[in-house]
Amino acid sequence: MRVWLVCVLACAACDDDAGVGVAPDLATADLAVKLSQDAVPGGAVSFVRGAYCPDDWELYHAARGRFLVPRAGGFDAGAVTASGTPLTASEDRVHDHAFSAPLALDATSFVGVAGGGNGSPAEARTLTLSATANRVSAGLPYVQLLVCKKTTVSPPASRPLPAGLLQFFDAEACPSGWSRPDPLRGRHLVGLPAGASPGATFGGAPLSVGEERLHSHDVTPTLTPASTGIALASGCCGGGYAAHKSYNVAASSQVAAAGLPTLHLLMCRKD
Amino acid sequence: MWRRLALLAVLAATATASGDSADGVPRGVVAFFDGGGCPPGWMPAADLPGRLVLAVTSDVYAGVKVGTPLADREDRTHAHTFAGTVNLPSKNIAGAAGGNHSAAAAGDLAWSVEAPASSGLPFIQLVACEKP
Repeated sequence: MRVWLVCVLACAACDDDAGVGVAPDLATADLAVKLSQDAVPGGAVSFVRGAYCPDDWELYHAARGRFLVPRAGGFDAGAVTASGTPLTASEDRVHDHAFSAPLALDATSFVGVAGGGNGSPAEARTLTLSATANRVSAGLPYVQLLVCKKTTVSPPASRPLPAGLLQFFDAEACPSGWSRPDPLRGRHLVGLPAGASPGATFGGAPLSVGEERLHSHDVTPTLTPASTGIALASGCCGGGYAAHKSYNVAASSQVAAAGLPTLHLLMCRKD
Repeated sequence: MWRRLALLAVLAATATASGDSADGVPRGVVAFFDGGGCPPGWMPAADLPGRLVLAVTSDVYAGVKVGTPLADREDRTHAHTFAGTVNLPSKNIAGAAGGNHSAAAAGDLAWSVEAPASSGLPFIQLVACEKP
């Protein structure tokens, strides 16, 4: 097909008055081939399979190590909003959380006198539990793909683009014939699992532009101190000793981000 | 002028007739689609189901997968271990050791708990296709 096309182009491009045997206008032929293959508007940002960007596209370094997210709001002219630190290759970014919560020890008393020489019982008081969690990743799976940006202005669309194509743009507005799809705004894009419903949304609320989403963990330890034996009956009036029982604590950790770096770009849908 | 018009006409006819490259997207592009399947001339991107896409700018790293794919609408959780030690201070009593164990013993008390949660991030699952 390509050979046939080039022959046709050569004939179509030759000078009317030059007659048979004159070399074709190669610049025109090359342009024609490009026009026939790539009708994506300029400023488009796409993932690409392979080692190189297509002709008239170049590597889009602003996105390196980041997840592309459709912008939630209007486009600030010239602004490309990023959050977080780019991932290194194959990095499974980890994070941690600090934690602090009160532990109130209930009181018990003995028929005896406080003081003396037996220091084995604990004092009833409110203590502070504190910890820093181990560092783990959010466990979100990804595949790394080359990212490229269309550098030329939009060529005449000699071939149509498929309706429903979702395309990122480093641009201020969608091209003519494209529109902004609302459900995608502020959400990470996940490849549809087998048998799943396309377009289903899940997880948290959409991200605002540049937002680094925070989360926390419910921390609910049960603490059971050892007991100590005292040769006294329970009762009045030696009080202020910590009761031997299980203590349930329920509190939230401090918030932290999962650490997925993003680049918020305009997303358009081909009508 | 007529040459260019003829050229574009031929190109349009060629494009219409040329099966796998019938649209104007370059070969190799991987894209998400709003719909239930890939358009003609495209095929499903085999390594994208259940995965996000991380942008890289070196082919050395392209195609590398990290983690286990998400199931349908899975809001993946992760768990941290929170652990620490709290000291229960002592309070003396005028009594010998004995059989009443109603009091907690003074000293260090270690604790640990696993705490799961999701990332809180929002997602949308979409058909992912590539142009061969």
